[in-house]
Amino acid sequence: MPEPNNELLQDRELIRRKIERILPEVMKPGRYVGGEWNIIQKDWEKTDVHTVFVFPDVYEVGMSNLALRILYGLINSYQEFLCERAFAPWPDMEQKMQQERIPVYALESSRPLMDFDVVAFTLQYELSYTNVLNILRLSGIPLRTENRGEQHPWIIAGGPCVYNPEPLAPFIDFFLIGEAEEQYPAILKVIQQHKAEGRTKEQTLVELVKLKGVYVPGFYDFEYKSDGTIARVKARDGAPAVVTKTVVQDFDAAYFPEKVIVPYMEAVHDRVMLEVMRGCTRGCRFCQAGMIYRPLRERSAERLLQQAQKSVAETGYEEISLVSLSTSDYSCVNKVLEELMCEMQQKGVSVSLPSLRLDSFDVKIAEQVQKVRKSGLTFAPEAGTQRLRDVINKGVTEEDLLRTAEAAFEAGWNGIKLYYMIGLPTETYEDLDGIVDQAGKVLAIARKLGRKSARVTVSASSFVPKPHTPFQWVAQDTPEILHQKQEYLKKKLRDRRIKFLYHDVGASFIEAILARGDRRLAALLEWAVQAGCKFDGWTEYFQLELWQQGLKETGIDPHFYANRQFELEEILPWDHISSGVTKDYLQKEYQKALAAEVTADCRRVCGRCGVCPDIARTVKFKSERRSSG
Amino acid sequence: MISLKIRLAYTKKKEAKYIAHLDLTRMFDRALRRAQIQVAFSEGFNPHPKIAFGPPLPVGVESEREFVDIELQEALGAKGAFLAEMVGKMQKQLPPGINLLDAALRPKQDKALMAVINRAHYRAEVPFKEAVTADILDNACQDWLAREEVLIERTKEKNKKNQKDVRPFVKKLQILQTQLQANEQSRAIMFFDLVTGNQGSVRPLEILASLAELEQLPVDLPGVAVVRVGLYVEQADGALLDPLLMLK
Repeated sequence: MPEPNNELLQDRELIRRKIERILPEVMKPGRYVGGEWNIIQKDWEKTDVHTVFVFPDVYEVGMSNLALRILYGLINSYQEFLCERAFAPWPDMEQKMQQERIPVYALESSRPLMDFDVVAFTLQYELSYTNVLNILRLSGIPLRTENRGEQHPWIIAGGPCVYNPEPLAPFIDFFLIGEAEEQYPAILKVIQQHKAEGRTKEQTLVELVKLKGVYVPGFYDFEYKSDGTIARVKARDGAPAVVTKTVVQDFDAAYFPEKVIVPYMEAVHDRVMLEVMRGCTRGCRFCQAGMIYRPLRERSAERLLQQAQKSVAETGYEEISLVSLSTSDYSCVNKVLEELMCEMQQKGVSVSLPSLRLDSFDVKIAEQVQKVRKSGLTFAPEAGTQRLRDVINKGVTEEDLLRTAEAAFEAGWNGIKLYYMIGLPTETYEDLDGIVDQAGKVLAIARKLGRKSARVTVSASSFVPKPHTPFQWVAQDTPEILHQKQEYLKKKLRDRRIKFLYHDVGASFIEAILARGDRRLAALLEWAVQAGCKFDGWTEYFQLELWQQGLKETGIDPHFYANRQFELEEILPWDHISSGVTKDYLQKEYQKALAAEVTADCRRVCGRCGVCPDIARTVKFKSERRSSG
Repeated sequence: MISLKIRLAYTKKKEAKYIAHLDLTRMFDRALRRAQIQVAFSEGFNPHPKIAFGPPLPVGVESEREFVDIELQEALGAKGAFLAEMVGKMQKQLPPGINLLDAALRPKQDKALMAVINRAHYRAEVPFKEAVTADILDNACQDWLAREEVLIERTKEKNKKNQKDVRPFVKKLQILQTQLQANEQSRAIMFFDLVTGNQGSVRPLEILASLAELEQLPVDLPGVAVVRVGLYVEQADGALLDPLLMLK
């Protein structure tokens, strides 16, 4: 495949003119023009450090991301910094851009990524890794750090996936582990100073690595045993043996953007997003977010109400969503909902909750929340039997589910969605039967209440073991086994009132490889992107055969990463990255899981995971009183 | 609730030309909310703002005069002053390229824009891939207009194609200006008078593509810049009225 690099256009005016010509021929041209409401266009000459935030997926997905909103507003709030945005061009646009030699460009200024000092990727899901590399390729920027020079921008990355940064290690200058609000500006200050002094990248890295949360992969060397596992990890002098995440200490007072960009074309989440809290106390054992975002920190009701007011005034959005990992657990959820709905109704603004985790939710409140009404109620029992729910520490009983379902049908809902995972540790076919059983019971309740047209949607995703969770050691079911389980459910759920949805097994397999991979996978990623893999998270573009060919060509055994039970004593590829939750705690949780023993919500009993109080303290609000622990 | 119906005329230029028709309602609704002007909402289960437009403008086409009908919740005393004030407040909340040109109150029984607008005028700047003389250009247009039927193919949804005779939708096709020097790329400014509305319509780019195909006119299609210059209500006597001025 010819490299498009050599003759890419550099002049922003020329780029803009060329884009103008190709836009009529691509789908949704609004993705590529910028100019949205509340866009920030700063003077290039009057700012010292030029950064671009790159979301490695299509515009309408990227524009729904809260991290983008926060960091775009935050970095631009510094007079000396500039932050623009770039997204992955959809394949139809990519093709035209290559024909016309247009590199990936930032929407604010139409400048190519090459013009920036810092190109910052957010890694939200493993299946976006090929897009990261493809964006570099389309920008004419060498993929590997070792092939880049002083003239190239800093290529950096943050986001939840950096808790195992290794598969991308050879491509990224440094990673920012944890919450970026405090540390990213500190990093940019160092870059600003070093740029002014004309220092080399190497000199800057030596300085940056002193900051908490900065992981410079080039400063670490891996040695492997003959069986392929890691023998030792050596950190260069001055680099910490373990890089611990950075955390926003005062979350209530932390920067929050009210004047966010309002896209003209519809984004996936096209509304005011109020972050009511960060972290989750439930401790579901499969959930990476539940571990890495600890500790729980709530925002006060007063502040949220202020933010809601300002956000609606600045954006004109017709909807406010209260977001977090588990909004129904937020201490002041009822108060905030009631006050918001009362205040916003006459402005034509509705209030919504993310659909997941309505398990413990009060149906009376759900009734008032418009968006929930439109999209149907969703419950996530995750597993079909109480035994397996205990294994994964999902504190929901069947009784909870059925009681809520009954209340929901009585209140007028006609459809209920049930989310499950298949392939969970210790799962048997009995647990799958439990899923079928539960769907039947929900339907029976509907019938009892005379709702003959009621429908149940059963959605089953495939379990992917994630780093920094109690299940990080667990082997994923092979694609064959997952496939058999899907077929089994498909057969058993043959009922016209039940809709059965399931995920592509191949995609979950590749996701597992990348999730638990080490830096030897870089060769595979490089191969994949050259071969044309991109948008792997999109069913229509995911190409399993190509990935399989890549695994063969690069001599990588996929089962070593996806389907192998990792040893508890083994050095894991992400052991030198810390979320604050200790490996010891994860191991205990794993052993409790195998014994089907539950762990209490840490709001009630501290589980001693290692995060509080050293990393940060848990912060909860009860009406006006603030409690910490 | 007392409500007030108004009609606005506006331009749609620059980056705003990429705002798709289906996204316009949302864009206006949000602009009005930022301006703290209260829009009326439909009753029922899933209320939506009472904002309605004329015939869709294709994405990427500019317009010098578009129309929107908005129903507001507010009652008012001095109507004229209110309108001017509202237009001012609203303009501040609209994206560059959307400029409010005029406003009028609508009588209670006034018909919707989509129901009354039946003609559209466009102007296009058309570059050619090779030198074209004024005669060639003129003949091509005459020949095309002389055809009884011009079938073009449209893709509906996935893989479904259908043919449509667009000739009845073209009232006039004129060359306004030509720039046909040997050295530079040949260009012409063309004018289209087209029938539009609920019975169907045709896009200037479709006509240009058809001219290229049927009359071998070397149009550089990706380089064409189209502007809608007006929308009209054709009267029984053939007169064309502006949908906003006719309310005044």
